[in-house]
Amino acid sequence: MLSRLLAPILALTSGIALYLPLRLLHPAWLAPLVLTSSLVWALGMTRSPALWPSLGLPLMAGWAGLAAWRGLPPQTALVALILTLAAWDLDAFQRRWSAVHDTLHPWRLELLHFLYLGGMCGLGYGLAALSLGLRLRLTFGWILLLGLLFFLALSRLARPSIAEKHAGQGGAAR
Amino acid sequence: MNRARLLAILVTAFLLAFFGLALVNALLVAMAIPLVVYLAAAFALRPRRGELQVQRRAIRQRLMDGERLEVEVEARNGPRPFSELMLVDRPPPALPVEGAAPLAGGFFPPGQHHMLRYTLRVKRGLHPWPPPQAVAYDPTGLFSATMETEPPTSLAVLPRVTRLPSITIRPMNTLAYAGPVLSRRAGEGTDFFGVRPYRPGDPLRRINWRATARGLHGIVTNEFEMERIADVGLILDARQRLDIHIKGQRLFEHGVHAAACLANAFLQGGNRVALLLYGAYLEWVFPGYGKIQRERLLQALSHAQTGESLVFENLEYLPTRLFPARSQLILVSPLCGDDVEPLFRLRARGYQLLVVSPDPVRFESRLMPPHPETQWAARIARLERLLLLRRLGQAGIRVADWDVDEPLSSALLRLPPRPAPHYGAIL
Repeated sequence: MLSRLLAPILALTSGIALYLPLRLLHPAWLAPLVLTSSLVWALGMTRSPALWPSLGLPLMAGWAGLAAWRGLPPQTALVALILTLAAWDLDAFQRRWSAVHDTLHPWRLELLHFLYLGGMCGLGYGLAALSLGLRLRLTFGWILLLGLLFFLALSRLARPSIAEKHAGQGGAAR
Repeated sequence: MNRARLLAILVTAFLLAFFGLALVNALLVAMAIPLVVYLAAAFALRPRRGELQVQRRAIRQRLMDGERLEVEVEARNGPRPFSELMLVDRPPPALPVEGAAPLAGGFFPPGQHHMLRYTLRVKRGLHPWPPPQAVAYDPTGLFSATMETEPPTSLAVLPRVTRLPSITIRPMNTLAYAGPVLSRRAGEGTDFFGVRPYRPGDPLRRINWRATARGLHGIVTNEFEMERIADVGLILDARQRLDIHIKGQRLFEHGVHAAACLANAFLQGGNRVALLLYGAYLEWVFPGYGKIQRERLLQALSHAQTGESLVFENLEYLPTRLFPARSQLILVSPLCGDDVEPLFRLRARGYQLLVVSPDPVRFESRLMPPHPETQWAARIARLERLLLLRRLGQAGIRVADWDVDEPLSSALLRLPPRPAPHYGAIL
């Protein structure tokens, strides 16, 4: 599968995308640390325990967030995050299907996934870039309200997971 | 649902947004947007239960230990496509799959038909078999829907049966129908039984001319022993403490195999055979004849398991009332020292006893590492066992000492000759 190759390449690329500008920023130890993290993550994709795919995204997104806070250019931070997200998704995809020997329409399956992922990443990047261009003056109350709404939306997304945990494996889906 | 991944992306998005708002950093909030878009799309496209039909077919219905079972799982999609669908069959855990795991999947367009085939190597037992599953994923793999279209079932695997040589039994009582067992009564038969004074109507070729020539009792006629069918009670010892489980092998399985072979052999001889499983509880199969009874016995043996019970710790409480008086009993047991007295009592009550004893000492010592201590212990245990078997033999109990590495028929061929009758020719 192509995603087997692409996932570590994207993970490493996101690390390099963060590393290059971070070399010029303070503190000096951050850049090598980010690059090492991405390298370990990329290596973990090829031969790792199953915990790495889940931890890779928070780790690299955390580095990107920290770098953004330290003054990384916004477009670079967004690109690094999008690359991280794509690598994380492709890694899970190839893990999901690598155990299946008898795959139906494998090329179509992969192509559909690439199209979907490309669409999601493009849309996400576009919306994020657009939002950076917006200038909103919000009062503290609005910020609080938006934060609350954001939290509620996330909890709504997490609800099926919680329901499944209580109903047993596969219970919510059925 | 992949909970770890969902949690990872939720926490990441939440922390980015939280720190963005807390630090009044628009870039951090903007960085959360792609993650939220990804999540929202996954949630919106989460799979629903579609019109997918999954059906499993096993090629063979009647299975015996060690055979191969070819399984087919057929999936037929309805009008809705599935972008990612995984077809999983979960074979019983005790049965190994030959080759690749029973897993198929991919993109399922409307009307797609797919057949998943795999082979199982079956082992004796009653194996619960969960239904096959079809798991539909959303494109991100965060959400899934599991579809099961069949109820759970079970797979009964009968013990392996091999043909045995003719086993001679001499029960005190036999049944009314003609069969292969010598009945200790004079009548139609082939084995010489005795002589008696001539009665009008006796065929001339039966006259014993030598005895007649002695002139002591007039004309003397030969008598032959009637051959009848007999009641055979099979007792399988399923006590946990006599079972040996080492390196994935169990001595009890050999006992089950022996019981199945013996049941088959005696039923083929036309006898009436009953079965008692003596372990955690008593499981009793009523006496019967023929092929139907053979299936009953094999079904009972297919799910036989060892168990522990204080009541049935030794053979003291063997329910002899279940077996007709003075019939033939066949005990399949590794035997231990406590079993001697109950077996003597059975013999004293008039039962003819044949013990088929899988040798636990050889079985265990062969699978253990060859230390000098193990060899000495095995030697002592073997001596104890020889003494035990000799005591049984002295009481008129026939014992087949069976090394389970050799065929059962070899052990039965080494059986001591049939016991001498307790009577002689009466004139």
